[in-house]
Amino acid sequence: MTREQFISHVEATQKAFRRFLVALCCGDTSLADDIAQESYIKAYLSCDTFSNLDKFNAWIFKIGYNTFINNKRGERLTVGIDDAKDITAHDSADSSFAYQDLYEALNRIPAKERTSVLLFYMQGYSIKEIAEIQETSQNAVKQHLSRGRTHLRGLLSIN
Amino acid sequence: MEDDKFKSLFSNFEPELSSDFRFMNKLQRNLNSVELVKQHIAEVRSRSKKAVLIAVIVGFIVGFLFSLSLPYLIDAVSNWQLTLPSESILNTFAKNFTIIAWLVIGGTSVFAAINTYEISFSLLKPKETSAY
Repeated sequence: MTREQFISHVEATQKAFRRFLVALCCGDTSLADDIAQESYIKAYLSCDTFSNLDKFNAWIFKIGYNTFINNKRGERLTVGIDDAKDITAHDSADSSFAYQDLYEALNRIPAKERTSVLLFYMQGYSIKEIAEIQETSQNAVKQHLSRGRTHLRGLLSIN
Repeated sequence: MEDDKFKSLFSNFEPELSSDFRFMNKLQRNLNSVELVKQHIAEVRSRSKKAVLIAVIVGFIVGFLFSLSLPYLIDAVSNWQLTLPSESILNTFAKNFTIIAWLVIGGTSVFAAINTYEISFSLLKPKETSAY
């Protein structure tokens, strides 16, 4: 894949990808953009060996998910309560308070359930495709979806 | 029914993203950096291959030249051995001279090859063009 072809694929996919990452990062657009940038760079480094252009989207989502998980593993930071009072609000967080409840609800469910729900309902991927993206079994994805729905139903009062 | 509600919830999800133009610009800059690193890695690999080739040739030449002198050295040592007491260490050395000589030739060739590699690798470095 040439750089021009790669950029053309990125331009076609970046909006949906970043939208997914913002939800995955529970409204932190700055973090979502960082993960998106990192994911596209990783994809570019491997694009010579990637031949199935029809699956470019799913491939990017897989890289993005793994990058998000690695990022989560790296950020086990805690601050003392006295230091916490000096922390100011992240002004790069989604300033639209319309989604605040959704972000809070998503933040309260485990990352795997959150990812499965977003890939299924937001991106329209099938169970099989989600299993490939998350590198897990289809049964596991079904469980994540079921639990994620149950949790979100309670948190968002969806009847 | 519940599925439809979830689908509706997420299909109406349109968060405020940073400008597409800024995002793509930043990505292009990152990709430029990646290209620079890839070029550097390719250049180092090419330089290393050339330095290995030069080192092999030099090592072979050194070994060949030393081994040309070996028959004369073996003759000289054999004559010298005749003058030595039979139980001395020097006699043992003289008896095993051929093996020791080949080891020295091999060691010298490897030493020459390694040094040639280091020197070639640094000399093959592309000259940095001055900014002025």
